[in-house]
Amino acid sequence: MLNGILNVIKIFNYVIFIYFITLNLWYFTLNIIAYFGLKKYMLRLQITQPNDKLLLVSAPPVTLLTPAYNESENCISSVKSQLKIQYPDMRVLFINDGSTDDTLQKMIIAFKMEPKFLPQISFLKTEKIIEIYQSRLYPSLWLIDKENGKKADALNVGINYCQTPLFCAVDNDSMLEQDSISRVVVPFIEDTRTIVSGGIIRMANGCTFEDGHITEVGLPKNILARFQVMEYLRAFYGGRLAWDILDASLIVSGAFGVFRHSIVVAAGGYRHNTIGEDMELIVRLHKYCGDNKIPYKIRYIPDPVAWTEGPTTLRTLGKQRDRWQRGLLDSILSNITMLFRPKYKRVGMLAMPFYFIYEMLGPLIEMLGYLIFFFLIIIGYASWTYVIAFLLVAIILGMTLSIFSLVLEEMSFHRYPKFSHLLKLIIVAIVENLGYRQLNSWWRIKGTWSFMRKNQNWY
Amino acid sequence: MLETLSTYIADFLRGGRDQVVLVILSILIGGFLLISLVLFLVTVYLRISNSYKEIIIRRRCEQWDTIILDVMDSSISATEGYRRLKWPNSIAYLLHLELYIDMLKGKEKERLLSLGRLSLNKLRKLLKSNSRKKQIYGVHLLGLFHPEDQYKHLKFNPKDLEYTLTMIREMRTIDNFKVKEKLIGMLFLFKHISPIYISNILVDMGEDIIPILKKLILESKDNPYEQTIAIETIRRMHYSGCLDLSHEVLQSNDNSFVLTSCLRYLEEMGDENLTSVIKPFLTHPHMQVRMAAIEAYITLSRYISIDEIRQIFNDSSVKVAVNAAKKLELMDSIPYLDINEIDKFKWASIYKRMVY
Repeated sequence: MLNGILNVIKIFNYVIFIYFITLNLWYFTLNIIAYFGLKKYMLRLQITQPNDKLLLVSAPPVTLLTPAYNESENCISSVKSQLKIQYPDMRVLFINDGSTDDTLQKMIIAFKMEPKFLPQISFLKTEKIIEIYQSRLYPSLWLIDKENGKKADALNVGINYCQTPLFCAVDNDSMLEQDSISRVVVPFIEDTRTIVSGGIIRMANGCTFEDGHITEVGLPKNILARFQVMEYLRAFYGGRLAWDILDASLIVSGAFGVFRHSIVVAAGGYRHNTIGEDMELIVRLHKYCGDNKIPYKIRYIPDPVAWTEGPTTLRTLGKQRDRWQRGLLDSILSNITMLFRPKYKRVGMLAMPFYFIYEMLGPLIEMLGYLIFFFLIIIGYASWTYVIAFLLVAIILGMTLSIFSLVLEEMSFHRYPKFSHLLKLIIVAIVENLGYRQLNSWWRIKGTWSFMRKNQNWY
Repeated sequence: MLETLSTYIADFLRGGRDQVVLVILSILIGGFLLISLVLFLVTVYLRISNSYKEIIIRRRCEQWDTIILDVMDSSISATEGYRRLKWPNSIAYLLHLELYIDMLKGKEKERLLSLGRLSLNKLRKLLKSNSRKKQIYGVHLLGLFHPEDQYKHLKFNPKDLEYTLTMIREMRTIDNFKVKEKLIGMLFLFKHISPIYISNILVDMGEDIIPILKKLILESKDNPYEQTIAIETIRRMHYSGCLDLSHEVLQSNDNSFVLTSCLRYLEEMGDENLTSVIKPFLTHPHMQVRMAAIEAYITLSRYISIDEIRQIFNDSSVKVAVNAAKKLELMDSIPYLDINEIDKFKWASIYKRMVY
């Protein structure tokens, strides 16, 4: 009996080993793909600057959708910075999602808002609209006051009242760089099949802002925030850029992404009952275009930047990761029919399986691996040598991937200007593998657990 | 030392139960440690080299700035300026010079272009380089300083979108009709570029391409993409000599994109005599055509009947009503409608809030 169990465990050990090797090979390959893509992009950027007159006169109008709930503290500075974005035809649509604080009053006073009619262009189902305002100071600024219905609902309201062919979903606490919109719309100009285009999100912690502009880029003092700087670099350079080159992007960050209005409306807008509405929408757009045989492109551009504040305490960071994992699970499982379906091309055959096997099940398998190791050591079946070797590989691989992202950052935009920044980031690349990574896996397992608990009747 | 290390590894491996896995793990540890080390060194090297390059370029720019400004305000001739310049054939210098050229107009711009042209030999060499990076720089800079010369030295490859499109873009101001004709032909090979973008490239080519555009409108009946762009370009050029041609296209074409661009052209360049041509399209099955027709009709006729208002605000598409309302908002007078009748409109709120 015991022998049987041990044999099963032994087989499982091999499975974990193979899983681990293939996962890291994948990540490594993605980084190499990103390297070549970034090289090409940098060259192109030298020739066709985003402020290029030809591109600017061809740029389609864009509406910035900023959903806000109880954002009294930073709503004015955030909107002011959005109004300073340099773009030929841009409107800002601030959606007050039933805030219980004085967000609405502050906005009305600061921007001299007055009730005005704005025609509804699409008819996605949303909570009730209370009033629509337009600013007397900035005619391109509109405010929609609505009953609370969460972020997806607020975004759907914005979509319903968006008068332009493109809209950009922005988090209220994100600061967009002045030329970010003109950079992120380039894919729409160069290829009419583009339906979504997203930019990079960087950590605002440690940076200095003045009047809605970044004046100095720096690293946060808080160690958790510093870990996240590294994580973001790894995710956006090694992950999203490579998936973009493979034409199989599954995520465009909710904090900064431009969408073609008509296709989002046709696909049904943001889903209300989901946690990760940004990823879910992207996956659904893939599905919609695949099902209806619509030629399309979902793009990621590595240089238009949105700066966002990351969590600085274990509690808030844990909550964020828990939410991200639930969002990932929801997005993948609600579109599970796309898995291994050639109809969805690389998304169905490559990206979905990758996210399903490695991103979704990854933390579970990683934790299970640790537990089995522990069990085998206790019963004396596994040697410490094996365990130490395995852990060393995991740490060194993680470190390699992080340093690879730093190479990509240095060969492209090197936004962290001081040499000390680089050295600190290299130290972070090593240290994050000792505890922080495991903690992250734990939060993600918790996220999986809470998702299953709440949704066990669904799947 | 080496012996101790090999003994240690051997002992380490013996300690494990599964030798194969341990060997693989050991190889991975060594391999990735080495890769990490290399990547670390590359990162540091890149940082040092980037910082060094920035300092060097900044210093060089200071020297270039003085001479460029002297040439710009005609204190010294372009030849004299070129003689005084250090690294006058470097890509960095030419890109720096481009920044000035982009900001200037008239004689000052011309003087700097003459200065840039003195580096032509270097630019020709760039085009022949094996490095794609240098080729692209060559295409870009030669397009700026001497597009005619660029055309002589280039080989077009429609499969390479990035390279060919860059070439066409950079050569759009070339002063040679035959070359322009070829460029337009190539431009239409890229089927997915935004028609507005292509149209703007064509507008920059100048009015002498209008005969080519007219020919495209007449002869490309099987290619609505080309027709649409040609009409759109003529509209953007504010050229009024294609009204009859547009009329003809409206009669003979049934593609919604072509019809929409034709109606937009008529709205911009036509007069009230054309309203009878536009009127049949007010009920066109395609929403975009209907929208363009209604806008053109309101703009040109400056009058709208109650029946037409009723039709517009009962349209199946909200966009048609909204766009019409925006146009009606600008009209001096509109026929009186009873509020009870307005309430029966499908888009009553839009009429009431935007027009009434």
